[in-house]
Amino acid sequence: MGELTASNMFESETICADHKDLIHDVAYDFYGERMATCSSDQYVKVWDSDGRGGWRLSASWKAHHGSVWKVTWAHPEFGQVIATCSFDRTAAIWEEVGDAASSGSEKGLHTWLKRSNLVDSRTSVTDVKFGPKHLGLLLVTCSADGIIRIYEAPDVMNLAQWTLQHEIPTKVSISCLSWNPSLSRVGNPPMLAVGSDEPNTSNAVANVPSDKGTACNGKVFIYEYSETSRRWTRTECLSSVQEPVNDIAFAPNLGRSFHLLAVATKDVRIIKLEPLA
Amino acid sequence: MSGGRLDVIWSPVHHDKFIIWGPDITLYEVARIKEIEKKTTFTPISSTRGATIIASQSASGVRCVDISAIPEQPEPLLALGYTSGKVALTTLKQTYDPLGLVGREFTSRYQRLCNSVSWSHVETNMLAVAMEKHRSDHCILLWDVNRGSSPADEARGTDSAHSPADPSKPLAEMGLSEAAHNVAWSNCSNRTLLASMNLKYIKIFDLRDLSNKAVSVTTSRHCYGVCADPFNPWQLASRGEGAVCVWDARSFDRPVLTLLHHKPVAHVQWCPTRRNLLLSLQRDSATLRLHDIQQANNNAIDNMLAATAVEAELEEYSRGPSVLEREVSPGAGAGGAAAGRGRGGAPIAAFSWHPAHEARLLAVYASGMIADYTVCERVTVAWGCGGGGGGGGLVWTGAGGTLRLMRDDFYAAIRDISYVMRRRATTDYGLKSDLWQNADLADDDALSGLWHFMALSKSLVEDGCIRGSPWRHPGVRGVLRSAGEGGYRSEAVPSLLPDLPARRVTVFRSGERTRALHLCGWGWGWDNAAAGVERAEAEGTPCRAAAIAAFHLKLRAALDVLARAHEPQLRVVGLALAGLSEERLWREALAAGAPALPDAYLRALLHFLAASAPAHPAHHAAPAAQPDLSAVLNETEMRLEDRVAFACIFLSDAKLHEYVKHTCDQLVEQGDLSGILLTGTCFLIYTSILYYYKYKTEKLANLY
Repeated sequence: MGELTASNMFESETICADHKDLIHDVAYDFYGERMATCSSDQYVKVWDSDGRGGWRLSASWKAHHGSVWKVTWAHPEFGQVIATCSFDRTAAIWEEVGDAASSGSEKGLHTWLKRSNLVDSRTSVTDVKFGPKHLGLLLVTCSADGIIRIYEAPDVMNLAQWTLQHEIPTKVSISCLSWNPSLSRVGNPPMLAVGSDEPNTSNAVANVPSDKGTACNGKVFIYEYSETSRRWTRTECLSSVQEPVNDIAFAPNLGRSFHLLAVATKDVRIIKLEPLA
Repeated sequence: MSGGRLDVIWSPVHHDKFIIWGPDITLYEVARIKEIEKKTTFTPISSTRGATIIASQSASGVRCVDISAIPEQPEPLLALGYTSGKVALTTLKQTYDPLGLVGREFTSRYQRLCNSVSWSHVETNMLAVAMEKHRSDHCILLWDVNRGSSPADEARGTDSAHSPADPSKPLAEMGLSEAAHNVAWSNCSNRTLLASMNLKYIKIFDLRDLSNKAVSVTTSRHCYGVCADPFNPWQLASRGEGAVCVWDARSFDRPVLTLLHHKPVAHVQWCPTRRNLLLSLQRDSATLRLHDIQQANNNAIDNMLAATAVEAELEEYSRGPSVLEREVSPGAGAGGAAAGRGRGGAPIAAFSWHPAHEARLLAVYASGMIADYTVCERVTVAWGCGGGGGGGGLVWTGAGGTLRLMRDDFYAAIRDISYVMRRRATTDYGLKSDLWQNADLADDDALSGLWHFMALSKSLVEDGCIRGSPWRHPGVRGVLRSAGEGGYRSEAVPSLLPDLPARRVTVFRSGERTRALHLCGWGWGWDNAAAGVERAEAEGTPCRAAAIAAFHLKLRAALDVLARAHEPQLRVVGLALAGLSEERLWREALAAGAPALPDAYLRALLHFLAASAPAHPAHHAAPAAQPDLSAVLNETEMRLEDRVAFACIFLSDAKLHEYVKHTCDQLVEQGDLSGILLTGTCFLIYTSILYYYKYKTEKLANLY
């Protein structure tokens, strides 16, 4: 990209999302044709592309009783489904029903129904992500008390039923997580990366002994699912990341022999994860 | 008056002006450092902004200050509360005074300390004053500044002090024989005044009906500095020795939240641009503490959808809001010298939120340093996939509940491969039956060169020019191989340069070489070289045209091309060519001058002529040793096909094979697509070149 930077070369346009408070997350759907936003005003809004570069509000509803931190789309194979998580200690699964309910001022707005409310967390749920499609309909949440929860909808047609498959305690506050989207099951077991926003001041807390028994004060942990033991285990702690982590994301795997993980702290790092042969 | 006191206040009306109030009251104007006139002294407040002093006056006797929100004022109008109990209106700078307010004074009946003044931002003529205790007077006075006395009135007006319309009488008085430490207007609702009183009360006065003042009271040790949330009319904050309290005026008995601090809290203020964000400053602290108050039970009943499902949860939420806290140190971010002084060292003396700019605040350090700081929030970025008509952009969360969106066309400017691929896909790139049509769609020199080569080699196979190739797209290496293996020997033809009779070169000819020349696009043939020269000239590459002409031993044509060239420089080169001789002088000049030539073809041309052997040793013994043409062959800025074609004409069989093989290996390793000219689509080498090419550019998907 050289000397080009977004600020001096390109104009961005502003969409007045009309959220009453800070917007915490914005997510495109699979096709890039819809957007969902969530905010501290406890509302979630869905925006549809008009096909000409414009965006139109298609739904807006109060989704939680606290700040909504994250919103994420399920693969369209499972329908028009989003998941949200909130300071109110819950995560919720929403499905769009019917077509434009045309009644007065609400004309053109779609209805989203809460299909399920995941209430297992005792603290703020800080992130929520659907699993890669090839693993079925999976959902992972993480919370400020450091517990990662993996839910599965055994029947993809029934979004009301989610079973808590795994509960992984990490002992540090988790702020964000990302699924490894890699398709290959061989040599690439299901993998999650989680980031902690634990401040560095409390060294005692941050020194979490990893499963290998060695202390690691990194802020990014890799968990992998072992088919044989049917457990998620921590396989890696990236000790190079020492700052509190705000966000984390795997790159799509385009046939690479390694994984790329982006970690946002004070700055952004791209970390290459090479599977052990 | 406390000597070390330092405070800062943004003007609510003039968004680029603030005052700093210490021993003096100083009015500053903020501007970008770039825009501040040279030689003007200014105080840097951030890496990009500086503050210049507009006016200053002594603050002797002043105990409290507030800036009016009257929009007509050309300069900030200040209300100063004095130790004598007098309140005076002033502007620090002499200006036009549309309302005639400057100089007005408001005095209480009995002299005592004035503790606080506060302008209403809703009814901008309302000024509230908080005073120390006096046993027979009220401690909170409400003035309508438009009715106040000007200094001139006062001289004659004192005797009529008790008439109802008396301008020197306050609109309302509250708190008989009480003490008020602080007053503040709630800017959300009309005429609601908050006051900290008697070291233990917070009182809320509803002043909509001045004859019947409703008051709500609560008792707290943490009763100081009470202020109202600009977004939520019920939400208040107050400070105390070791805590900040958040109150809900509707249930005023106890605080909704008590936020403990280690040290006494010096100042607390709600962010005027963001909901539920409270900022507090502890005494002797170098950082500010942000309290992001998370409401978990707002309007729960409104939510009809969840009404039944979440009943159980509601119980838990009713425990009230909680808070996410973080510390910010405004000075640490400021650029240059400011940063060094700010960090860790001097404590912050005061801060003030900017009235309008998103999450911007000004902090003043005890050292006198001023830091302009914007509280950052986590920005979320999302990429859209390129799919739909409007999709595919980059979106991120902006300030104030907005989204910022960048259309996907910016990928074009940075030539992002995903964007390029999508555009190619929509134009049927790679699907055109005439291979050369794909070249136009590729919009990439290397790729379009590849498509042209594929089209050419395909047509050569179809025309029967190249036969017996195992591949549909044979390369030069494949065509030449048979010559090396099958024992064909090329015919070496000593030739003279027609226009330079003193020179001669050896030209090699064979059927394979001709076919290889065809693959290189030199299909015009030996006798028809003028066609190739013309084409190259028409393409706007006179140097290449001249070189091609010279490589076909048509030096006259080469000189003609150069003479026709637009750039005078090229005509000079023509001069050098014509002067070709065996003289040492010319040779040395050539060695020195050739590398300086801008065009690879010109350099090649000169090197080629210099390498040609002088004619006279011909009648000496055996044909002279091969001339050294490596300078031409290694001229990698020349197109590969021209280099190879040159080699096919002037290199002997063994050297030609060596050259082709070497070049081929090199290009395969570099993943250079043009190498397919040599390899053709012979599977093994071809895939390895693609592998390296993909490795280099991750562009595999472009090809098919």
